[in-house]
Amino acid sequence: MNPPILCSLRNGETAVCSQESGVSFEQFRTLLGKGIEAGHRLSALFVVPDDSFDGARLVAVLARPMSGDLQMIGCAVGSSYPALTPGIPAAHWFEREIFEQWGIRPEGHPWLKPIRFQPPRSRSGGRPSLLLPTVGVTEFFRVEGEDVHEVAVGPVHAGVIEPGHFRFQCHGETVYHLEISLGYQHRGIERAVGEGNSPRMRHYIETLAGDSTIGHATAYCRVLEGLAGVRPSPRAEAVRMIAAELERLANHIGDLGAMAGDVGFLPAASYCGRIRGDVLNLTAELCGNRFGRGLIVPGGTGFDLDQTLESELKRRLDDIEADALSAIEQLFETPSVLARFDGVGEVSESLARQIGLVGVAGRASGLPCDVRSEFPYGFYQFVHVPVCTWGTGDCLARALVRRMEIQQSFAAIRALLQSLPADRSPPAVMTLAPRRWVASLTEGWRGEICHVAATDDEGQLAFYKVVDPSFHNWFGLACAMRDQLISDFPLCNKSFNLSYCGHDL
Amino acid sequence: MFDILKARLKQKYRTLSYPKGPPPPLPARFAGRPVIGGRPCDTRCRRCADACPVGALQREEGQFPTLDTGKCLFCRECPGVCPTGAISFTREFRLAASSRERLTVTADSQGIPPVRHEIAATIFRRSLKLRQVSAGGCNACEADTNVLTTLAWDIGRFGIQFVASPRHADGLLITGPVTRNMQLALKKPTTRYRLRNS
Repeated sequence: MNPPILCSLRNGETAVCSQESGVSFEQFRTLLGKGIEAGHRLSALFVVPDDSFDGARLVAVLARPMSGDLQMIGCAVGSSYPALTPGIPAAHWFEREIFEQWGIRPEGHPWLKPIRFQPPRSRSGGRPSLLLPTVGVTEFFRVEGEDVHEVAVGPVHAGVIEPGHFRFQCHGETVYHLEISLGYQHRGIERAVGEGNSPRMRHYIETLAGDSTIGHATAYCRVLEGLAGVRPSPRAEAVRMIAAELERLANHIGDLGAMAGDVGFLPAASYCGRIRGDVLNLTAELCGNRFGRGLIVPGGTGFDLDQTLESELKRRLDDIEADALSAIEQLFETPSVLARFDGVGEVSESLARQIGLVGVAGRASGLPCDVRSEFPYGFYQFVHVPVCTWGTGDCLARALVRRMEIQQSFAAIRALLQSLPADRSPPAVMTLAPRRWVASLTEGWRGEICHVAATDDEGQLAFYKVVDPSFHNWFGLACAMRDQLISDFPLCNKSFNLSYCGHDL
Repeated sequence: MFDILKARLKQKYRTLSYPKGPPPPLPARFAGRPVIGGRPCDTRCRRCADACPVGALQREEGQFPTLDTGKCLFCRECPGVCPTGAISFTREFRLAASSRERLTVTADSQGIPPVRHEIAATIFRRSLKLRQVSAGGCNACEADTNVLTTLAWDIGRFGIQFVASPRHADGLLITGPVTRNMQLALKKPTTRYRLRNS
């Protein structure tokens, strides 16, 4: 299952495994560097064990918005290689992951520390090493000097949220540097999925990040559908899109409410918290589960809509929209709220591009990155959802992008419900083609979700790679906190609202 | 100010009347507590156990299957493959049990197992402080736990509150399968509690 050397693929299209040794490392580095310079995005960078010798292949998936395709590049590497990060900062988290997972050292990486504290993987496929790393034990970056102090938070936080460790280097109230150390949520999902086609895998993917069930399940199903050469029916694609936009609505509304709560504006916080639940209940009407579990299945959808449910959804959507827009309007018409959002936690467009921000955070910094319009998949090929960007990259921008996307999602769902395709064909049986590679991108509510998979000679999944948008964006949160007040951290954190388990896998 | 008040009126009073009033309507496709039996079951057939992706369904030769709701994902594969309809999911949403064994549904299970403990109810009456720790939770449990504190459910009405420290808490709510990396962080606050499994 050696990766293809150099090929361009449409989103979800497969490529045949290559028998050749790949491009040279110099070529690999030049291709990536030039691509990033030309405005492409590094969607994934990872290592796969080599078939033939005790080496490994370094594989990059470059998303090229201008041509609307994905470029997959493979090259052979030994136990170390010159780090890409100094020239391509967006690679830094990926290279740390590569070093942690496979022990392949990117020489000259400025920040080579574990990201998940997971046991190393064995290239020969045997048992992993028994030397387990201790979570959170690493050399943290430190600022020295008189009156400089360190604030350590987590892994267990005060609220009902997931665990993660944050270390602030402060001078008075001002944060000079924030280091984020994760891995507490590592369950080993990526590896389990890469080891076979068990029926349990779909459920693993659905809980990869529970709030992005639809986003990840769609990416996974599109991987399998690509490998099997199966196309879901247009109706199934439309239902998937409704589910994806409901997921976006629920989370965006919830996030605006949480941001309101963090600046002490309780009316919007209370309303949005409730309205978020109402949107989740619409997803529950579709499939019985508020997070959409069981709705997206390989080949189609697990549930369909009938006439009654269609009109019920339309009616409830109207009520929810009226309530949500009125609650959000309160938020943006209250000067004290705007004053707290404005200019806090800025990430400039050039920095966002350099470190490879995706999704809401990227768009808030002015990057027009949105898989739905750049690499359309499923029903997004037929329905265009406008890309909402803002330029200032602060908390206000991230709130405004959410507000605009909420309006777009309401409109998109309503349009879909008005004209659902009529055919009702059941999901097809999946037989995966052997020796193939596939890369599938979807736009989850946080941003770009990338799944890459390969099959072996028997057509079993032999390799699986997941890149959650949080993987790209956690470092953006750290950058946003520079020179900010430590008391603004909760607000900045909510404005990104990244996933711990989606990162830790 | 006037606009805020106007919006307040528009948003109405939304706190549920449950448990005094009726429970909120459940979605039509909701799957609640499973029941086994009521219909004949071909005791040599293994289709349900084979269809279960997580091994929650156990099948002893010659007996009705048992379903461990502690493992069950409510994916509803089993009723779909059962030829006689001996397994079905009801709309009963009360799934809690006071012991691990009682989470398992068998053909002999009678109704909903009681979880209310009279002594505990007296001690914690209108004041139960809980500490939540996520240890590999996928953020769905966390999200729905947070929903309980929103104005619709408002568990604060019953004196139940999620607090910031185990020192302030009467009990612990753990979400997730407990990852290796969370073992230590979970043990530290839990030493305050005597963990019981009875």
